[in-house]
Amino acid sequence: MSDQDEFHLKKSEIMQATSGFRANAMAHVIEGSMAIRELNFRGVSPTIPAGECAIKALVTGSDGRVYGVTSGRRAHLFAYDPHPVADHVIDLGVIPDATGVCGQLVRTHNGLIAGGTADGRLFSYAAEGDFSLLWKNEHNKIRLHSAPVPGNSVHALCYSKSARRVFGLTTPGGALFSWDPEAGRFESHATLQPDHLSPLIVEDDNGQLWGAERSGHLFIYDVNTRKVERPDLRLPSAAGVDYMNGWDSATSCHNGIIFGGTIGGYLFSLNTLTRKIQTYGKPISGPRIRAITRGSDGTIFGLAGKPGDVTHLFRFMPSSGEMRDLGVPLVSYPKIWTGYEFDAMLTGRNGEILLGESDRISHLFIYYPPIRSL
Amino acid sequence: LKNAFATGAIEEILFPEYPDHDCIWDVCRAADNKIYFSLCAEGRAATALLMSYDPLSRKVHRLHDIGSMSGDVILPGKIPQSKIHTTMCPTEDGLLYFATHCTAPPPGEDYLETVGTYGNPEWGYTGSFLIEYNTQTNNCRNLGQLAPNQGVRVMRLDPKRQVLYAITYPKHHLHSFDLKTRRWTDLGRIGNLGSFGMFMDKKGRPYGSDDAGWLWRYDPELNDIQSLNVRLPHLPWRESPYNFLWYAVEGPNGAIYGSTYYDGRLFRYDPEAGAEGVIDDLDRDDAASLQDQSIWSAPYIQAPVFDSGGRLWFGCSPIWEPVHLFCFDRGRRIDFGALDTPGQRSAFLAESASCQGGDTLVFGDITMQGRPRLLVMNSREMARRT
Repeated sequence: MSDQDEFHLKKSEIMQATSGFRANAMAHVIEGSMAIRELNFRGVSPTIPAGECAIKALVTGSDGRVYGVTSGRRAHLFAYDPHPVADHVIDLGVIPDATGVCGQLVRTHNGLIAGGTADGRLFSYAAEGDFSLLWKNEHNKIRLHSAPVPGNSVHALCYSKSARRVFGLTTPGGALFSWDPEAGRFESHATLQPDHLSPLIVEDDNGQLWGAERSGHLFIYDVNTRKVERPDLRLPSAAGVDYMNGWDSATSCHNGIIFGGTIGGYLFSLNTLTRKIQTYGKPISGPRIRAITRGSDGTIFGLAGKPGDVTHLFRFMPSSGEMRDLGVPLVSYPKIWTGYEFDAMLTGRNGEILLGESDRISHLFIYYPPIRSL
Repeated sequence: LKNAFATGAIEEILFPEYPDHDCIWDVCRAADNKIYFSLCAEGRAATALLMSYDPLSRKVHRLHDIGSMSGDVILPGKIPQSKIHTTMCPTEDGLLYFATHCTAPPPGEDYLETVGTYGNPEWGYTGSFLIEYNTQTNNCRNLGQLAPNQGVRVMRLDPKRQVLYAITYPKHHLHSFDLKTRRWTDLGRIGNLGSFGMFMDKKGRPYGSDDAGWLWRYDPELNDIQSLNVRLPHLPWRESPYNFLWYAVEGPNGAIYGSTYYDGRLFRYDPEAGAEGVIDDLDRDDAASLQDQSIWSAPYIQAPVFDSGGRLWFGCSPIWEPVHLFCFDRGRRIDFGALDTPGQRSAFLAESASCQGGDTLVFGDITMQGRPRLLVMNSREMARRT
């Protein structure tokens, strides 16, 4: 074939396979490796349907399984069993009457997985005794509880180890409530400024719950003294938009430190002992850090980007201060799939990072960070 | 025939005055019986041009530059408005709707990355604009941005409800646009790579396929994208991705005739048969001979169009190899040979249209040499050769 016969667009059509493109224009994650699991037992069980599978929250169960909750036309609770004899997702069922869910799932001391719904109720699942194998799966029923504040949505949840209760915020009322997972009773604790109340609360190592009210001003609720404190602490923001700021995502507390992301897209650490905030800037130019987790080696991984845009996975190494945009998650097996929307992540038992896709068609992504040389 | 031009029934129209435009991505016939097409850019940086061809006078007219019309002119480093992909939707009252698209690199750059530059105002693609063109007045109306930061590869019209359906690139969302209320709705993601073809049934429901070739259908009454238990014909080992819906045209009997991407199958689909329609693999008997198993993808079908006699004409070639013109008539594929002229070899027929009662067929050709051309074919004359 002569040069005249070579297709003139061949060069652009093979671009992604070229080393030049991969070195200079690759938007996808190439540090480490990425896998996906469909929300099913592949080839055995049906997938959680499109339009019902946007993953909004993940939590690790006491048995190492990962639990997730979806939203959409209907909301599902599912479990991912990472054990090699399983390695599949089990749809534990539909949360009755729920379409939207709260962005946190919690695990209680008595083994319950609990979450909240947009119509204001709590639900719980007791994993004890359930199993899933090739020919059979048996699981328990999702229990629906009453609403802590009728007419309000469950806005945020966290589990307090010290109080052995599930704490939550409601919207639009701004109520701080707790739920006893053994007795099943609710208790009202405080009312926070409801306007622009951030949709998360985190417990520190001393039984204090941290959250953010309007303009990114932090509040603390002490579960022992039952008092709300408003320290002079404010989340980082670009100048001129503090009034829109909010706390978007948080890691759990470790050695007194909570890492967080803001609505504006800033990464920060909160030292709950010295009560100081340190800002590390933004992993990408746009707003939102929608999920964040602390890796096994202390590296912070997060998902940045607002809904409707393209979410980027990033990492931050507290030891060196290095922030790196790792790119957009992409897998090629068992199908080619780019993940554009994510709302949840957690660190698995072996240091893998699980990413909950939040789209009309969604998957559980598993990111394996590279092994670092010693 | 070794060369379809030997029939003397095909004329080529070249555009040497537009050296920056290296492809044509849409061709359609509007209510005025003229052919409208887009001169586009993919390997070079340029903004697409809306053009027309009058089959009576055999004249071509340049109508509008998409960049200047949308106010999104070509800028250094920025992904340009380089295409009108297969989105032209003519109406009976003389309007023509289309959406703008991308995938040419920025001026002076080799690389194109729509995901990496997504949302970047300096480097990224601005997004697709929906344009209403009036064929009678030659006026264009910019109806606004259809999908910020994304292009549109395919769009179809429900003429009864006056609703447009568009699939975006790179995020592959199905969108609807109500022409009466001027409201866009993002109906959700439908795939990853495919989403090239889309067709409508008589109830105004758009159909497409996922990456593995399973059909979906959007029901506007239920506001639901339904996954159908209907899969496009495919090779036994084919999984996701690929072999998604490629082209689809309505046949004279009301059924849909379509083709698949990687496995190059021709099929007939009757959406009205039963709850989910019935699909028929028209290449069932010849499937083995169509596929050279040493290559990963079969020769694929391009720009199918029916003539006045109910024969289906299309291009067919393995990727990057010269296109042959085919006719599907009475259950057989007939090869009319390559579409070669001196210095020009067809590389891909992007879209087609029939006019003059189906006696004239017009194809938009992306040639090996990057000099796009319209191929105007006298289908009666060609049919005599079948």
